Amino acid sequence: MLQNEENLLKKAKDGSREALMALIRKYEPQVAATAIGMLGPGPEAEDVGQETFIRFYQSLSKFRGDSTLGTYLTRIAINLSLNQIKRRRLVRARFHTDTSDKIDNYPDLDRAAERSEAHKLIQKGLQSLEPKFRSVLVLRLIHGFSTSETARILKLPLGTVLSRLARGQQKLRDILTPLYGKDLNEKGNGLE
Amino acid sequence: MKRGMDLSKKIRKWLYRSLDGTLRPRVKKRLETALARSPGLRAEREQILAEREEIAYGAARSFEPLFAERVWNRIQSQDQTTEFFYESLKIVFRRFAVAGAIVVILLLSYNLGKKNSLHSDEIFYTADVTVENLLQLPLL
Repeated sequence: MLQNEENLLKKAKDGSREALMALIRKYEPQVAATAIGMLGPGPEAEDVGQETFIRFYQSLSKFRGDSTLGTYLTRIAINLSLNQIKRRRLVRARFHTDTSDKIDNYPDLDRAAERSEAHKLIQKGLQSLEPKFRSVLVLRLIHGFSTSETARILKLPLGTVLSRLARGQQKLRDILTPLYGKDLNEKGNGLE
Repeated sequence: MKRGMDLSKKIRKWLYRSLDGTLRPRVKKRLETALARSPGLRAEREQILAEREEIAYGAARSFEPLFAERVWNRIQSQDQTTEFFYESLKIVFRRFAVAGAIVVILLLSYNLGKKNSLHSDEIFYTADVTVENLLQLPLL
């Protein structure tokens, strides 16, 4: 019977499919929150999610548990997401397309607003933020990592994380306020 | 006027930082005083908290169903690809190794037959290979 995480890890290292699947299922929410928070919902995020677990599987023998498995996986997912954002920019630059991360370019935005799906708007608002702000907001506000954990994962000084948090949230508000027609807070209350 | 703006900017910064538990006691006290005095600042704090809650609440926390199975399938197919690669490499290497061994044997037999000696220098044709000889070779 597979009981705790240590046991699961040991069995996964020994090649147990069952143990690996159990670990993937356990940490899917954490990895999904990172990948989707960074890249938006869609095949890119799914691909980063899969790649995160594949890398974890490939380095299972090296995983010594210096950080928790959740933090370890989040670190892989955030790095892969940032790489994906860079790749996306390169492709866009190469083909000179007009698409960008700007929120104005989401054709279904009005519809989403009409449907009052606040989380969809926030998701798209997040996507329109610069990755440096987005990564901090995802780790701190979505994952609930402490500011020092966030700093460690992103390899940034604590002060930088704090200022990016404040600036990122303000920028997100600036993006979302006109879409809501009023403050996010007021609209949020109306949605609940 | 400018001083007032700077101060409100500073207080707003403290406000954000207070939510992450990193204020020094003196600054914390100043912020508390400002909060007690200003209903606008209190409303601002409530708004920031509500936004944070909304961001956390709105986050997607799962991929499409059967995600773990898809990861497993990818791992399996990658393992098969790697195995196939090494198998192919082994086959190619084996051919080169056999060809190389045949060439060496032919060379040895030829030199052995020609010099009629079993000395290794004769067989490998290395008797004349010295540093001095090499240095005296004409440059191209």
